[in-house]
Amino acid sequence: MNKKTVLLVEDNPSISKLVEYKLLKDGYTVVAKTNGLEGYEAAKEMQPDILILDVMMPGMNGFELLEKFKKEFPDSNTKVIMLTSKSREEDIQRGFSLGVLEYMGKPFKVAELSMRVKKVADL
Amino acid sequence: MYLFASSVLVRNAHKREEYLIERKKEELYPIILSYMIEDSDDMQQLEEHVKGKVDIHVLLTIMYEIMDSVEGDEIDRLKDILAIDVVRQDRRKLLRSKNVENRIQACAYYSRLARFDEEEFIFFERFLYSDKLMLAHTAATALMSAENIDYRFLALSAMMKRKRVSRMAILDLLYQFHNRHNDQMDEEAEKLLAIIHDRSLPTDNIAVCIKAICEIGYVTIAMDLFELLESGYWNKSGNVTEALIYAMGRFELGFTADSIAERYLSDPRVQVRRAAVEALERFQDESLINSFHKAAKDTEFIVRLKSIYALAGFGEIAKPILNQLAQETDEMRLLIRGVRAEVEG
Repeated sequence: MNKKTVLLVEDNPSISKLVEYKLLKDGYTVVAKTNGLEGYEAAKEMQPDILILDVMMPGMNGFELLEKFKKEFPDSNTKVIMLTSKSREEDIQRGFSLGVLEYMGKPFKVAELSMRVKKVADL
Repeated sequence: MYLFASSVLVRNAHKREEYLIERKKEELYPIILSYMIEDSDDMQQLEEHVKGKVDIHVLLTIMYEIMDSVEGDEIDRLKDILAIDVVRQDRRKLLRSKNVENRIQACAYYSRLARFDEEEFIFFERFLYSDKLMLAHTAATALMSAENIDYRFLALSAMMKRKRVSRMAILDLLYQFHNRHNDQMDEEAEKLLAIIHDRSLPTDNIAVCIKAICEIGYVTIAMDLFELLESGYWNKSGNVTEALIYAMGRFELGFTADSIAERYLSDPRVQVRRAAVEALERFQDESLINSFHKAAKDTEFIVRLKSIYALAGFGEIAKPILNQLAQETDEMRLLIRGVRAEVEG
């Protein structure tokens, strides 16, 4: 069976390493990018199964990245999880209106993120 | 030429240092993460690694970054790493150092570790009374990590006594004073009550403390706050009186409405009158419409504005009063038009 691909776009290197480490252990193929612009280019190229996005990032924020990606690939099957400290209600609504399936605030539990990724991957 | 050459040298040295830090980080990530995510329980291996090769500053930078973003059991596992002997000994050395920066770094470490022994406690206690505010605050933060409320109370009391401490710093400590993991609400409330009765403390700090009591939700002492307001114990302090009135609104103690309207809507201090209007607005009690009507003619713009908002919140019932007020002055007409447009959407 093919491994599912995960693109992680997170500008904090420690968090990025942490999530990458856990998802690799869980058996995914993981590509990590540390800013929105690189993340967008990678998303276009990879069309990952799962996209995990931070919101506040240099270059392009997570919402902008997602908006651009959805506009360019409206029929994409990429499933999106937001992982961010920006968890005001309007931010969460904005995420869901862009098709985000899971919205996780920081601080978060790594084990819970792993479960949510699995849930989204199995959809 | 000399300046150019030296700036190139400095830049290169800086780049090299950054490169070395990145290399050390790359070495450390897998060790920390494997322990944290529970594949490995080999703490000895980790300790050996840290002792032999690793810069403790780099280790702690990574650890703090991760700790800021995770929670639950994972935080406990990270604390185990923080507690390894070689790291703790190193931080203890900094605690003993004469250098203030080092002491601050050490206190910051203990605030993350959330455990300390008697010897370490003696340092924190001493630093609490340092003339270096940053050191005192970080020492207070270390004590705030304790499960035992007495340590937290000691830290809070010491910082509350300070005159030039910022509102944000006090607020930050009050939030830390509240133990979110175990229910100590009653004991905490009792200690806070003692603090807000202490007339030797700066009134600005007492006022911040009262507002934090509301934000955190120590509802069990809401009645004590009412009694404090009623007794006039803090009447001479505008800041504390304002905070107590604010508390009546936040805890929605509607039965205090008449007393607030009668005593504080005509108080000579504008901050108190404003607080009274804001608290009364929260009660949504139609019997207060006349009080708001009077307050809408206050000498201070902010009190008039708040009263108009309160009246507009009553909808149809207060319409005749607003119409009447709108005819009195041009300012009032414009004000009411603006507030109505906002309230009625």
